[in-house]
Amino acid sequence: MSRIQIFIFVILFAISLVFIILNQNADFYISTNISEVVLFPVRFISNYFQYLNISQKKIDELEIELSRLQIENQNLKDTLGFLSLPDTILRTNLKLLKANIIGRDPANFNGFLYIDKGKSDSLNINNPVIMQDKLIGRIKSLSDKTGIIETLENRGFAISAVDARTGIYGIVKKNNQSMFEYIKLDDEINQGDSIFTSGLSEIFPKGILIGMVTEIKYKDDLFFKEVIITPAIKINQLNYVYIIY
Amino acid sequence: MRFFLYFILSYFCLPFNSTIDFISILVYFIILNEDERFSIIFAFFAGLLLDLYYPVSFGLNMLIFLILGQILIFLKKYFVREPLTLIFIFTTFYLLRIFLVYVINGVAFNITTLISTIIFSLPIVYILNKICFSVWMRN
Repeated sequence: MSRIQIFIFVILFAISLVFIILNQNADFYISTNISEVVLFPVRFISNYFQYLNISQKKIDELEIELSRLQIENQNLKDTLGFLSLPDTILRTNLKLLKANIIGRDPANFNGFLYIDKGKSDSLNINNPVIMQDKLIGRIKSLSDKTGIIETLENRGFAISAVDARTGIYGIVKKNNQSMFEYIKLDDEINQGDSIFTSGLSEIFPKGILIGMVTEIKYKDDLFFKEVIITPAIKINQLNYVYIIY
Repeated sequence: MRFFLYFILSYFCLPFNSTIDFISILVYFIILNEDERFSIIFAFFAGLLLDLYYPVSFGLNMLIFLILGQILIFLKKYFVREPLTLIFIFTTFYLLRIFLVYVINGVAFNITTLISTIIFSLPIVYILNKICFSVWMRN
């Protein structure tokens, strides 16, 4: 052990001993002043993380607000006559809850989504699930902390819908493809028409975009034509959703 | 450059030190691998950081790290760097630190932190060796 080493040790030992022996007020005064300088990087880093956290919360709030406003906007357009839909109650006070997707059913990849919100978050079965103003599906089952969403990609999923341009009502149903069913042969419906929820159900509010008409086929059916729609949102690209409750 | 990394790591890990006592592991690693003067100064500095961020009694961590660090500096010439020896010495070093800082002062201490620190100490020492010296363990 060199002399310099002994010297350094003795000096540092003395400093720490003095700090311990000093009374509490002096300790507090010294530590406060030292921490201003020594802990500056830590404070800087933690402030930055805090800033990121606050920003993320703000983004979440704004996304909720955006979803609410888009639906509200759709409803207001309806009442102004942009769409020839029947009057329904304006839903301007929708409560939305963000839920992260924590799993998917591997056997039916887009059919069911698992979310990190459940009964303890005041959710109920059949609550509609959306992303912005686009329909995802509804809550199928709930546990305390998690839930399962049945998406419109699930085979057999059916919902009352309306063509925004012509006001023709039908049922959107998922078979092999998503179909807009019960459209008569003489009903005017074109490719590119937007299909919205009709509001004729107790589950889904009116004016949520389901998808676009992509193909119209005439088959042997005497009454109806086959209208194929493409969902407005790709389920397998979702990381989170919003639940109307 | 390596010394700079030690300071960055100590600052970066300080907020999470209540989960795994990374500062103690870092001090142990530096004492094993760096020269005596830097080791003792860093041990003192690490104690200062802990005293400021997790205050128990101002100066106590500095003193304990200084004394235990100096003892380790004396002893490091006499032990072989094998996993079992390293983990045994770290456990002794760490338990002594916990005993002197927390138990004697009657301050509550999270037992999970103690266990996870001891479990993760050896992997972290290996990783630090790989980062700083490009080998998993120096002889």
